Amino acid sequence: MRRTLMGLGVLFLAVPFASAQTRPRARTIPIQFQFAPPGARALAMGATFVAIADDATAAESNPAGLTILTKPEISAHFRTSRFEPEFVNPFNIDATASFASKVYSPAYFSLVYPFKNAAISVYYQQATNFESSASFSDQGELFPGTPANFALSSQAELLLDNIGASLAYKLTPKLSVGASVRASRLKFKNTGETFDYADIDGDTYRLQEQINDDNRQVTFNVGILANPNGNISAGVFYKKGGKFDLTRVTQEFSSGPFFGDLLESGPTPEDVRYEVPDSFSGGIALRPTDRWVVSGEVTWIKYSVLSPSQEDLTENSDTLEAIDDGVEIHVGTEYTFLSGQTPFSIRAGLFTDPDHDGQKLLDSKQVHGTFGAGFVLGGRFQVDFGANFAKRVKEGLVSFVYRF
Amino acid sequence: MTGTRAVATAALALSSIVASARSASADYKDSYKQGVEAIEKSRWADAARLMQQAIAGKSAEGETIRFYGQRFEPYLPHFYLGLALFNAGDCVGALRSWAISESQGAVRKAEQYRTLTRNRSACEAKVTPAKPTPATPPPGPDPAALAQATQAAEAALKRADEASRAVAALQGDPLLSPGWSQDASLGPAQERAKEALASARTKLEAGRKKPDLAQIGEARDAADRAAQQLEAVSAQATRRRADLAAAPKPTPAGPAPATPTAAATKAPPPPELLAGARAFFGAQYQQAVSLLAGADGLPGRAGAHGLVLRAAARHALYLLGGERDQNLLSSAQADARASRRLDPGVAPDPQAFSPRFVEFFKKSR
Repeated sequence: MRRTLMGLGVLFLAVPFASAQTRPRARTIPIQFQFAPPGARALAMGATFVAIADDATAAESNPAGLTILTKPEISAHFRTSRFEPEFVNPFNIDATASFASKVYSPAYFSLVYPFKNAAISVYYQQATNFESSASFSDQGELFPGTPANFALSSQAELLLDNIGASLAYKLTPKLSVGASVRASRLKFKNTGETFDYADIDGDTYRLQEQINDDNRQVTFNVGILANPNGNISAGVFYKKGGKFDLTRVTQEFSSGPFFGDLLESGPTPEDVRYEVPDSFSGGIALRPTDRWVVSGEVTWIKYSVLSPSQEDLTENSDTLEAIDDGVEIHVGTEYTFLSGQTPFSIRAGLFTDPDHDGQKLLDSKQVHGTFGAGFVLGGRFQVDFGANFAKRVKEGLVSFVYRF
Repeated sequence: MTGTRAVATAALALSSIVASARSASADYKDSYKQGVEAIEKSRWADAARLMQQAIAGKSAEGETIRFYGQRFEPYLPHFYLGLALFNAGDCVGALRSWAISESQGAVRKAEQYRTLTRNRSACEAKVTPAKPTPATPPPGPDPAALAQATQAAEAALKRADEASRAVAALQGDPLLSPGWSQDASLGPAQERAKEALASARTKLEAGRKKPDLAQIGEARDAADRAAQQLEAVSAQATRRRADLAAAPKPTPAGPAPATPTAAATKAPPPPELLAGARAFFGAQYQQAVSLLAGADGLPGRAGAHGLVLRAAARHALYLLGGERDQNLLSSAQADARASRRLDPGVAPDPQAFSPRFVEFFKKSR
């Protein structure tokens, strides 16, 4: 068996899966950001709420809508999500695989207090709570006559949460404005972006990249609502995503009769920046009757901030692609029945979700179908359920609202 | 037509349909929603005004109204008008509104009914002298509510009777009598109002005998309608008379004018007094003050009555405003004193005015 250090030096360049650029690095994990408004009611209506914004979740869908409320409200929302992101198999780029993970989140808590022509809200939101886990393995011979096992794995946990305060003001009976200031936190735990090598001679090599860090930034959102709560209303809403600086640590380990500790290095810290896309929405809602609302909106998302660098794109032109800004189309409806004085609502909708994975070999474009229902007990206690089904994400939300 | 234009056209058409479907019913709902908001913020004067507006659009209670989001509430404008008046210190008005609300039935099924019964008890304790409690409660409606509803209906009938007398006086005017029966806004309108008045009396009697709160409420509504019609006839006749008096005199060759009758010599109530009274009894207090701005200049007893009404309207506004506006209170006192100067015997009728105002008037010397 003849092996040289030079041979090892070219190891990662010689085999496609081992190239540092094609390993599933954190930035190429297809993160499922959740831009939908936080409430179950809004989610069930195709995540259309910019032009409606008439409950306690308005602070994160269009804070101008808070002026619609005339009684204080508290709300609590809980979400369960099942993610099935798709990965390209690094040992066979013609194949892909999905790995499911499930997350339970306390999604949103808020208090809204209305005044004469204004309203304030304080809230906590888990805007995105994402987990993914992927692992691939293969067997082969890097050196003739030396069978070896190769493995690549990645586990990611990403939490984006906000502590916010909103202020809304009714400029005229037909026009309201609102804004929120948020302490946003991105917490990223990427514990196993790892390449493993082990051959029958007992030589092992591991390259590991880890992120276990969080960063806080001040972000904001602003919204305008025309003819709030009217039979025809229209709204626009801008949400600033934020830039978060984290530290990634790279470390190499080796052992065995030939490798020994020759390949060990690190730990080497490196600053990396993650940017959460900004988004801008515009929508319109129609109320043919008091009990029926139809709503539609268009959301532009600055997904281009997630795009691989030009250097990465050049070096991996077969597998990576640039990410363009995306546009989502949302439509939804709600109809309310009355059983005595108890309102019972049913809702449905859908929205599009553009491709934004940065992988040439994948197309993460998908359409989300949503539905849900809700009721109000005693005129004060509101319970809503919402569900969202798409190819790579399934989620359910339950919301509780109490009006004083 | 391109796809974009087709979508735009469809959206516009849909918007028009939505707008037209809702505009007809929006007014009373908007007034009601704003009124409830005023109640929640303890703006009693605004609440009373907005509930009156809602009632003018739709008097029947029971419909479920969407406020916003999933907040739906029953349409109870009479209940909330009563609540606003109660909080403003007008227990007579509050009891009258609650009697109407209760007679319609919807409030009995709503959570607001507890508030109604609680506050009504408090009001009754203020306005009704204490009576010995009977050993067993009589069957049928609450006697206190019955008494209040009857009192309200009688007040409405009294108002209609007064308007009817004024109209009769005008009917005998030599300038008006020749064309009275031919003018649809005078004779025929007067007849319709008299029929409504007769119907109100019949219903009140029937309601008393049964006893039936709903029927008494209907009697009050019919009497209110009759009074409004008669006041409108009176105002129209007064205008017509002024027009005729200003018209050129007949030539000397013509027949000599008829000698005025005894009825014609009794002057009818001035239209501004009638309009002011209508506004006051419709709880439009600010409007009543405006209409009676020239009450001091009205001739004879009309001036004194106008000032009493203006004092009552200002006093009501003072109460509804949370008893903060001392200028309003002073103005009301000045009106009360001025009315006495014009007619030392003038006094507010306890059946038509709240006990609090009657007391206020007594003390304003």
